Amino acid sequence: MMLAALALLLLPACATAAGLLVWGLYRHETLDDGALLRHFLIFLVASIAAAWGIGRTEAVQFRLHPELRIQAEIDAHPVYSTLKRLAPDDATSLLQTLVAQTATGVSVPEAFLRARPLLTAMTTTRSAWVDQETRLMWGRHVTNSLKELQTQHPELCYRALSGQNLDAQKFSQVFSPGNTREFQQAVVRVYESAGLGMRYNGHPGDVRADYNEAAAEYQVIKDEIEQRFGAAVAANFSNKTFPEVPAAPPDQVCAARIYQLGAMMKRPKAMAARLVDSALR
Amino acid sequence: MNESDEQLLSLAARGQKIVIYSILMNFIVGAMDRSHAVPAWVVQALFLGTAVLALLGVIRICSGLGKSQNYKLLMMVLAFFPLVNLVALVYLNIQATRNLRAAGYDVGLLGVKS
Repeated sequence: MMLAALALLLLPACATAAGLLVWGLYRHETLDDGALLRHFLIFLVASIAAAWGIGRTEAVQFRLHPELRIQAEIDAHPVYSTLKRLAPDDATSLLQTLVAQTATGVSVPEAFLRARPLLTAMTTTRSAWVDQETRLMWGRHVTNSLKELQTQHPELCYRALSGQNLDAQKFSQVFSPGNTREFQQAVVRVYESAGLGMRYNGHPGDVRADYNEAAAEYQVIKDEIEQRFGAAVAANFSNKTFPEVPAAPPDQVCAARIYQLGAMMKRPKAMAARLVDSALR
Repeated sequence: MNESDEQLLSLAARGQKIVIYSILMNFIVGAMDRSHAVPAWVVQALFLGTAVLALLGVIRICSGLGKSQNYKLLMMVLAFFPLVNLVALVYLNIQATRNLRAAGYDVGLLGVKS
């Protein structure tokens, strides 16, 4: 609508500019008809060329086509650009979510906030290929995020750890700006590390913890959870499923998850990384 | 009527013919545009050609009727405003017809009859 109106007004505006220029420059002299027509046409063509040139600038294009500005903002975002470079399929899923969110009128940064549940799920899947340091960093970030949620919204904390029925809008509002920044940096780091892991078939510097030892450590931590939080809470951690309606108070389950991840990360690096991976994926 | 007046009226008569043809061209190109049967760039080129033709007609009528340079410029600018251009062209055409008839010319639908 706006574009059509602008196109309709372009020629009259250029003709007015040409008329004013000719009038301004030659108002004290009388031009013959040929000269008047020639000058008017020269200024008209110059005005049209100037209008066309201005119309092609990025600032004007972004005003005329808001979708271009949104796409440029999305392209410039470090999370999206990383996904586009290293995981095009994930980038497509993210883009679809972002476009759907921006279509409702929210800004691009807000759309990224609302895409956090999707990004969390995709990043957790990617964390299978990361090095141990990055895996522990992701575990620390998940723990910090759960702590923030627990203090503000225990119900949401439970939904976040179980990955169920997350209200994107509500979820986007509870995290601090610092946590959001940390989350986006963590996502980028996980994708970078996973990219290297996939390319070189693992990370040569990492020494894998023994499976049986890891299983025994997992059991030790689970027993500690049972002692501290009760059998009902511990049951969630033994089969790694969290029912939609929590069997125990959500804040208890949330606290147990924070305890579990904290206890795991106190182990030596290789063991901690293996346990965190097992708990989160 | 002296020779100079005769030349001016002759100029107005030629301008009037051009204006009348440009009004007709306006309608024809408008119909072409709406029919979508002709490529858009052809329609744009025809619109531009019609506008230049109208300018030529406007200048000649204005000169023939002894109008000022500012008046000519105003009419040239109005020739690029949708709908207003038709009103301006018809207004100039009426003025030209009135003057030509007063001078004894036989003016028809397509201007002065030769």
